[in-house]
Amino acid sequence: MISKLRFSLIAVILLVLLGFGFQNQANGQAGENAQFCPFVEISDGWLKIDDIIPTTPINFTAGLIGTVEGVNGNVVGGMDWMHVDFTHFDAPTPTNQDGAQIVTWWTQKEGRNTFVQLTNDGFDFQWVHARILDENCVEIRNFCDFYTPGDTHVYDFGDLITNEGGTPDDNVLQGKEGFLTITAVDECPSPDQAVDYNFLAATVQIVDELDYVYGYNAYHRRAVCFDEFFTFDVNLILNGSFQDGFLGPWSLAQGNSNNAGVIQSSGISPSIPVPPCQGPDCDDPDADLFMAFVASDDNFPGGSYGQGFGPNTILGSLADPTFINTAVTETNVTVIQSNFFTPLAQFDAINNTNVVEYDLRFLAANDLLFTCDNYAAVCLVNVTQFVDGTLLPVAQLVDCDCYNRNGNGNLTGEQCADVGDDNVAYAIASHEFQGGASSLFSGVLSNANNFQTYVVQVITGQKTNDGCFNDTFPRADTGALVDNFRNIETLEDFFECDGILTGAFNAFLTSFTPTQLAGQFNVIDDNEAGGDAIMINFVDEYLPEYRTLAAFVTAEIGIFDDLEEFQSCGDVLVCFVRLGIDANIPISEDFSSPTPTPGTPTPTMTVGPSTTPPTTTPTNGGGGGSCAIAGNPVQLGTAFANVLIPLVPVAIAFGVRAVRRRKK
Amino acid sequence: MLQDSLSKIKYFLVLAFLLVLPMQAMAGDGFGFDPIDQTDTGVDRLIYYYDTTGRQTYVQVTNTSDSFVGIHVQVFRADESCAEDNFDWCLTPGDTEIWNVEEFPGGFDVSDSNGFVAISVNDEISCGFENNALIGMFRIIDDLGYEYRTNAASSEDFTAFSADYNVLNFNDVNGNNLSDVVGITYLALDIDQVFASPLLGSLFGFIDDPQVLIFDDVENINSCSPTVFTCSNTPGLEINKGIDNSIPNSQGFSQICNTSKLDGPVIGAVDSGWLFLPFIDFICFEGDGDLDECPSDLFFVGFLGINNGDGTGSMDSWISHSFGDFQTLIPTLLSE
Repeated sequence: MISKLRFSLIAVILLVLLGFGFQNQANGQAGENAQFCPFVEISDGWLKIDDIIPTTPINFTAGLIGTVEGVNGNVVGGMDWMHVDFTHFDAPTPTNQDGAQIVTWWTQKEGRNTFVQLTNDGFDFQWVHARILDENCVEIRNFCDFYTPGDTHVYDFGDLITNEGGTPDDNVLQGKEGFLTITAVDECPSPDQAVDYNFLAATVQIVDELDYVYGYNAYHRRAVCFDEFFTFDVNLILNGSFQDGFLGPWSLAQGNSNNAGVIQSSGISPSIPVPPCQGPDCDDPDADLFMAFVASDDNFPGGSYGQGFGPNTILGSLADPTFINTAVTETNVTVIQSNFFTPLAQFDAINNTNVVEYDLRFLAANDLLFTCDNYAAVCLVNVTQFVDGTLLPVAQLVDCDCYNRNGNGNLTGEQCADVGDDNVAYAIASHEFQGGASSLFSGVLSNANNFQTYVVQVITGQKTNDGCFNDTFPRADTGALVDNFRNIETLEDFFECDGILTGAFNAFLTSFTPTQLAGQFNVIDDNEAGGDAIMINFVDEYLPEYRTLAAFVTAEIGIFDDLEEFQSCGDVLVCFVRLGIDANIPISEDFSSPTPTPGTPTPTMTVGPSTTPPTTTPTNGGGGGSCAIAGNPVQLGTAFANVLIPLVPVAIAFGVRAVRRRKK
Repeated sequence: MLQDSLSKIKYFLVLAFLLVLPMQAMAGDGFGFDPIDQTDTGVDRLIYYYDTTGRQTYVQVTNTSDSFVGIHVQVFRADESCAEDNFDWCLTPGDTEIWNVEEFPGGFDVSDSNGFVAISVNDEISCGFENNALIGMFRIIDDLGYEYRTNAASSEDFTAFSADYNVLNFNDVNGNNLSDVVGITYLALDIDQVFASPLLGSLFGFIDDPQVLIFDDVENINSCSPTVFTCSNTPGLEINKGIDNSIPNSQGFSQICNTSKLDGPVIGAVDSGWLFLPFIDFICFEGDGDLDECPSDLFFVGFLGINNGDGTGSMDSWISHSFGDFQTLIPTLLSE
């Protein structure tokens, strides 16, 4: 006896747990019965559209939710945008702030008529272009319109008249629905490019033949248009790394042409590597390939520094027979000279380092028997007077570095440096540097002042001591390998937005791509109700003219009741869709009763599944949607719940009968 | 006593418009910061308008988070000098509550009344706390058979731009001929409570620049007197006003403009216009009606409803424009 009673009790409990447990899973697939959550019976709650993931490029996702019901003999309804998890930094309140484009649902289905009031609340005359897409996200009508400052106009989709008095054909709209954009453009119909004009404010009223209105602000997308400044560095010393493979625009200012040139690492024997490139010239693919050499060689004789140049030349004004200021005169001087450069002279220049940097390796004369003061020098020379029209211009040595093997001599107040050598005999063409090569030095010359003009000179020279300009053994050839001359200047430029929106990072309409939508709903006193929950998705095409194109997302649908119980309703793949909310708030076409019928029984679960859940796209029987409402089948819960739950009273009755028999 | 103060306030408002406020503007300041209403994302405070005079009002609040969220609900009755009632509530994760305002927990009398409801997160009750989890909406169902429905608004989103001026579209679609221009001014005392009073208001329009302007759909423009919204039904200071004589207030409160814009020439089948409401500043008074310096945490929320008094109506937040860093004053136009 007790075991039968216990069995009944256990059966009841199991049936309840299993049945309602399965009920918490999907009761049907979103889209079925033209509802987001079919077979769910919730009158007060909120719809959650979650994990919205675009499957195509996208710029806009939003949702609307509205309901209609009979209250005190009247049909009343209302709608507003669903809440989102985020908007856009440049447009945090898109439904309450004007913009350059408005977006809304429109419908001429089921006896409805759409009215869109557009206001130009700005100070300019403005073209707009309306593009009307149907539920398949295909543009079926578009028209241009023009607004004066402060202008406002209502578009009646049942009798379309533009602000300018035009009458675009609206027949194609009747019996259809979808979404639309109205965009501020430069000129319509051509060139019809979206522009930066954030003064469009729109409200929408959709009047139903049952005499209720869905009224709300349109979505407003702000135009973002700004100039983006950027800086970049340039080297005012042209061909500073000799990346061009030849000397120019450097010039051989003094000396024989055999005494200077551009070589690769193999141009000297044994080879010496080219110094690694430094500075803005390094973007050139050959920047690390070349370096220059300068040499003084008695085989190619010449004079002292500036000897033979007129007084009105740079070299002539600096001529000095003892350039490095030792008591011994010099000979066979070779000079290469850079281009003229003037720091901060360019209009877009914002900074200059005001120094000249370079790399140098000294090539020494034979020092087997004695060392010479033969030298290499690098000088920053002020030549402003040669460009500013001074009558008798004079150049000025600003800063020099000089290098030799004795450390004798000086330039611009600095002692020459004894740089040492590796005692390896090197050769460049017919020149022999029998003393060896020094290590690589990096030098800095300063100051190259703003708005003054300069050149850089590399100078080599021999002293006229016995043996210091000898071309037989021991040879006194002297030289230098030089590279990476740079005076760095920073220039400023900008990416310009001229008012035309191109979709570039600085010229676009704000995108709204939330990952969640939340739509609240409630029904008063268990009234009969209908509803419309809408999703809109699209992408922008800016060029050559602005267009609104279809975009698709997947999303997971769920619903909360007012007891915080959540039910999953499957997922969807949509561009545009309009569905009812659930079984208690079906799609508005299914709402017809203006008043609640007294005594209407509460719907009960039927035994067995009422429909076989589809695995393909359902037809739009009364609903509106783009071509794809499909998702994963989650139907087991429906089947089991529909079988088990109705058995609960059977189990209870079985147990009660058992108890009664025992009492008898 | 308060009524006397309110009468005195109206007198001082005239002086303020003529003397004080333009002087403040000339000094380079005097334009307050009024964040554009946030009705799109989750927030920590929601503002709802309610009206139970020939109407029913239902407010819905939802906790969209996975956490418990305590809330403090305050009801301010504009018809009773902004008297306040309040209660606390705990929202469980995913919870949604729908209340008929005349049946709020606590049982206070909100019948034949109008005003606003503020719902704020409350970290001082034994519930929980989560930022930006609240969303809300309200439904006002008129006995004449139409419904106003809109998302509740927050005005304390500091990512929002300043509402330099507001654009209120109106039209006679389906015979619209009545309006409810609602303006709610409140002081944020703390994260969990606000304060409102007939002595705290929001001023729109100057006598000089910038004025309140009303446009029809052929750009005939008229200027209107400055207007102030406070938490009261005192004429001229109402929380709810009408647009103009062609679309007056549904409840008989005063109009912002003395024009009849929907009675003019019609383009197409629908007549329309819009109201330009430039936000000037908050305006505050002492108990005796003298002007007072306003506290710093004043905020404004605006709703606009239009209806045909018969079967259709709709409501949403005001649409605003922000100049960003720039301010441009609209030139003075014809007087009404």
